[in-house]
Amino acid sequence: MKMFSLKKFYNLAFISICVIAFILAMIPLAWILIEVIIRGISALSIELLINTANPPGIPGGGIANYIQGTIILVGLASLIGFPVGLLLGIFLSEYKEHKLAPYVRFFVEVFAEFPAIVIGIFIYVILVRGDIFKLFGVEKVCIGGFCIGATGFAAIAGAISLALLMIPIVAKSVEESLSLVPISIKEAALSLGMSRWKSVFIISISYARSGILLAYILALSRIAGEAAPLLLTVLGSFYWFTGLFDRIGALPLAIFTYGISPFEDLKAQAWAASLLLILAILILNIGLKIIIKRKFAW
Amino acid sequence: MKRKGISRIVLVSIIVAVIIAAGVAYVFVASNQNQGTNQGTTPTQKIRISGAGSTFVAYFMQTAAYHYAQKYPVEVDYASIGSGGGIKQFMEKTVDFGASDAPLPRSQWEKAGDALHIPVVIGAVVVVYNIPEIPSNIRLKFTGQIVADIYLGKITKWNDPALVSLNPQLANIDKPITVVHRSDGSGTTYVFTQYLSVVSQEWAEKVGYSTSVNWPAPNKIGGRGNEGVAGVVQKTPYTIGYVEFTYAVKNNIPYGMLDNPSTGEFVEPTIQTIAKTVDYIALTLPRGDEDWSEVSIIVSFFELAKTNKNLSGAFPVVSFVYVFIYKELSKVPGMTKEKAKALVEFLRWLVKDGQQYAEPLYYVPLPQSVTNLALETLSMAKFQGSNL
Amino acid sequence: MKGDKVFLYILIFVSLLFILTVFLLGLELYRGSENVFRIFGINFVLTSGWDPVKNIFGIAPLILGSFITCLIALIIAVPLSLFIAYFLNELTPYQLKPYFSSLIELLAAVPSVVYGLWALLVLAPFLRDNVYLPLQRALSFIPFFQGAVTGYGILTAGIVLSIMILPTITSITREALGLVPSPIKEAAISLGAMQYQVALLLFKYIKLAIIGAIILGFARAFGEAMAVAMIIGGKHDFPSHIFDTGYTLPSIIVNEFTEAVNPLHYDSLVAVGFVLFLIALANIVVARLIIYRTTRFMKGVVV
Repeated sequence: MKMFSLKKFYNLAFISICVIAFILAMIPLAWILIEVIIRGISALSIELLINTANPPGIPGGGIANYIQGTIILVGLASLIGFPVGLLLGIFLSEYKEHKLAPYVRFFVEVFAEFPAIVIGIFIYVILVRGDIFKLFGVEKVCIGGFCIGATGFAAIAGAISLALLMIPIVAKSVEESLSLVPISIKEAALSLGMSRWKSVFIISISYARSGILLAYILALSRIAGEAAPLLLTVLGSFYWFTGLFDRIGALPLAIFTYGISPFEDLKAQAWAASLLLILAILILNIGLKIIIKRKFAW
Repeated sequence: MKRKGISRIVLVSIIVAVIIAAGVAYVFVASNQNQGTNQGTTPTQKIRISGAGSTFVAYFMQTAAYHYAQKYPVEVDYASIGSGGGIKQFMEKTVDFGASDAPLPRSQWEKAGDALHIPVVIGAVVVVYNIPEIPSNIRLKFTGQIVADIYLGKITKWNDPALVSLNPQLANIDKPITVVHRSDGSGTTYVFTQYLSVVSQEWAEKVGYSTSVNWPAPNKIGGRGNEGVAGVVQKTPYTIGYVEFTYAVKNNIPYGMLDNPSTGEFVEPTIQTIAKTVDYIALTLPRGDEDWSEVSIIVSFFELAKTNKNLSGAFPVVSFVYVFIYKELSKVPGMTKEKAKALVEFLRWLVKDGQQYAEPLYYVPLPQSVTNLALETLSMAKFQGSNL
Repeated sequence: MKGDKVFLYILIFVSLLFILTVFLLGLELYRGSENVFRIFGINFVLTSGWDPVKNIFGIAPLILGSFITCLIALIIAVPLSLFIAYFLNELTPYQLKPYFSSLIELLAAVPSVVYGLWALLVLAPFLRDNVYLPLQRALSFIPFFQGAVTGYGILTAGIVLSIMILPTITSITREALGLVPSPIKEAAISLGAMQYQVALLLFKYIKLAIIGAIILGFARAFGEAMAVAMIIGGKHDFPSHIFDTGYTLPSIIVNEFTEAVNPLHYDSLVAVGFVLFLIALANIVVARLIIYRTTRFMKGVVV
C-alpha cells in the first residue's frame, strides 16, 4: 500500500484533470462576467436607464427604450409562445399514443436547436415582406375595420419570431415535467370519474407546475438574449414603443449594433446593456428557482 | 399544510405584482423624461417613420432625426444597414424610405416604377489605416493607383517600394497589409470601387464597381457597415480600410491623402476640399423622377480633370447620398396620409434647415441648386393621387 | 366525455398548426432558393466564389468554415465537458453540487450577443497579442501558420463556440451518467475500482449518449449566428492559414441578408438558410437514432 502504484498515479492524474477541467471552464465565465461588470458599471448611470437612445456624440443618451423594447417583445412572444408550447407539451406527454405525436415530437426537436437566424429569414419573408398574404393572393386581410398586410419591420413580426423560438423550448420542458407526474396520481383522478382533460389540467399540471414555470422562465431568458431574428424582423429603433406595427428596439440588438461600431460612447453603452441583460436573466433564473424550491418543500 | 400552500402562492403573486408595478412605474417615469416639447403629447400622437440604408449618411441622418424629434412629434427611425439595405428594403416596400450613396441601378429603378431620388447631403470616402509606428498627426500619401493595387492584392506589404516612395516613414514597416472591406451591401463600397475603377484599368476589368464586390486581396477582413470597418481598423494594426469621412474624424482614425487627378497634388480630405469638387463640376442632374444610375460626382470630376488641369484643392472621392421614396406613397404598406405628409415634411426640412447639421459632422451641405432640385422632386410626391 | 373530445381537438389543431408552420418554413426557404439551385445545381454547395457583380455564388467555403469552427469547438469542449460532467456528478461533495452545477449552467445563461461583444472587444485582441502572434513567431516555419494575424477568424470563432456549447454537452452527459443503474457503479467499487476506472466504466456504458451529446453540441455550434458574425472576419473564400478569417453559413446571413440587392445574391442567402434547415433536420435524425437507442437500452435494464 505504501509503494508507488501506477494505478494510484493514474487515479490522481484523472482526478486532477477533472478539477482542472472545471477550473478551465470557470476561466472564461469569470472573465466575461468581470469584463461585463466592470465595463458595464462604469457606463451605468441613472441617465442611461431613463433616457432613450441618442445618436453617437450627443451626450445624455440611454438605453431605456431598448429595455422597454425587450420587455414588450419578450412579453408578447410569451403570450403566443407559452400557451402553444404548453399545449404541445401536454399533447406529447399525455397523448403520446396519438398518431400525430411522433411527428410533433420530431419537429419540436428539430426546432429546439434550430438556428435562430433562419427563423428570422422565415418571418422576414412571410410577414415583413408579406409573402404569406401573396401566397393567398391577397394584399391584406381585414377583419372588421382592422386590416393587416405586409407588416414591414415591426414589433409584431419580431414578437412572432421570438415566439417561434420559444415554442419548442417550452414544449420540451413541459413534456419532461409532465412525464414525471406519477401514473398513480393520474389514475387516481381518472378512477374518481374526472374527465381526461380535467385530470391533465387540474391534476397533472398543478403537480408539475414548478417544472412548467421553470420551463417558462428558461424560455424567456433564452429569447431575451436573442438578436438574430430581430435583426431581420424589427431592425431596431431609437424611440419609445409607439405601436405593434412600428419598429422597436431591444437590448440584444443594441448590444450588437453598438458593439460593432467604432464609437466609444456607444460601446460603453453596449457593455452596460450586456450587464443589464445578464442581471435580468440571472435574477429570473435564480430568483424563481429559490421560490420554487421552497414551494417544493411541502 | 394547506395554509402553507396558500401563503406561498400569495407570496409569489405579491412579488410578481410588485415587479409588474415597478416596471410600469419605470416606463411611466422614463417616458416623461423624454425630449422637451414632447412632454405634452401622448405616445399615440407621435408619428413614427421608418427609414433604413446607407451607413455613410447614418451619422448625419440620425443626428438630424434626433433634432427634428425635439421640435416636432415625428420620430424618424433610421437604421444604418448599408446602402444595399436601403435599396433592397425600399424595393421590398418594408420601409418608408431608403437611403443610399449609390443611385438605384437602372434595373431596380425600372422595376420600382415611380422611385424618386432626393439628394440629401454630400460626403467623401477616405482611406483609413492603422500603423502603430506612424504618429497620428502624419497623413500618409496614396495615389489612386496604389490603393487599387493594395486592394487588388498586388501590393501586400506596408514597406512596398511604391508606398515608401511617397511615404519614407514606411520603409521599416515590414508587415503585411490586411485590407478591410464592407461585408454588407454598401454604397460606400460602390463609391470606393467606382473610384478604383476610374483610376485603375485592371480593377475595372477584374472587379468592377457595385455595392458588393468580390475582393481579390488575400488578407482581408469584412466589417459590417461604415461603423464596422472603422471599428476593425481601429482595433487591428496594419490594416487599411475605406470609410465615410466623418467616421474617420469622429473616431480619431488616421486617414490619408489622395492624389488629385487634375493637378497631381496630394489633397487632404476636408470639408472645403470635398465641397470644391462639387463646385468644379457643372452639375447637370436629372429630374427627381428620372433614372439616376449614371450620376456620379467621381466620374464627372475625372472626366473634367482630363482636360482641365486647374482644379486644385479638390478631393477626388466624393458622393451624394440619396433618399428614395415612391412618388405614389400609398404603395408602401402601412402608410397613411399623415405619415406620408410627415415624411415629405421631414425630407423638406432635411434638405434645407437640416443641412445645418452637416458641417459639424464633417459632411458637406448641398449647394443651393441641388437643394432646389430636391425640393422640386419632393413636390412630386403624392398620396393616393393628392399632393402632400 | 365531451370535454375530452374538445380538448383533444384543440391539441390536434395546435399540433397541426405547428407542423404546418414547419412545412411553411421549409417551403418558403425552398421557393426562395429554387432559382439558385436551378442555375448552379449541386455546384452551389461544391464551389467557392461570391461575386455579386458577376453573379457567381458558391458556398463551399462557408460550409467548410462552419465545419471547421464547429470541429474546433468540439475538440476543445468535448473532453472538458466529459471531465467536468464526471467531476460534478461523482467527485463534488454533496453540499457543493448545486453551486458548482449552477456555475456551469451560468455559461449557458450568457446571451450569444454578449459572447460576441466580449470576443470582439476583449478576447480577439488578447488572443492576437498573447497567443497567436507568439505562436506564429514560434512556428513560423510551418506554412500553415503564416499569414496576417488579426485576432478575428476561424480559430477565435471556434474557441468562443467551444465555451458556448460546453454547458450543453456537460448537461447531457451528466444526465446520462445519472441514468446509469447504480448496481453497476456499486459493483465496480466493491471490486476495488478507483475513480478513474469507475469513470472509464461509466463512460463506456453511456458511449452512445455521449455521441448524442456531441451531435447536439455540434448542432448548437453550427447554428450560432450572432457571436460568430461579430468575429469571423467575413472572408468568402477558403481559409489559407490557421489564423485566417473566414465565414460560416449562419454568420453570412447576419451580415448580408437585409442588404442583398442583387436578386441572385438574395436568393443565395435564402439558399444558405435552406441548407441550414436541411442540416438541422439531419442533426436531429442522427441524434435521435443514437440517443433513443441509449435510453431505451438503459431503461431496459431493470434495477
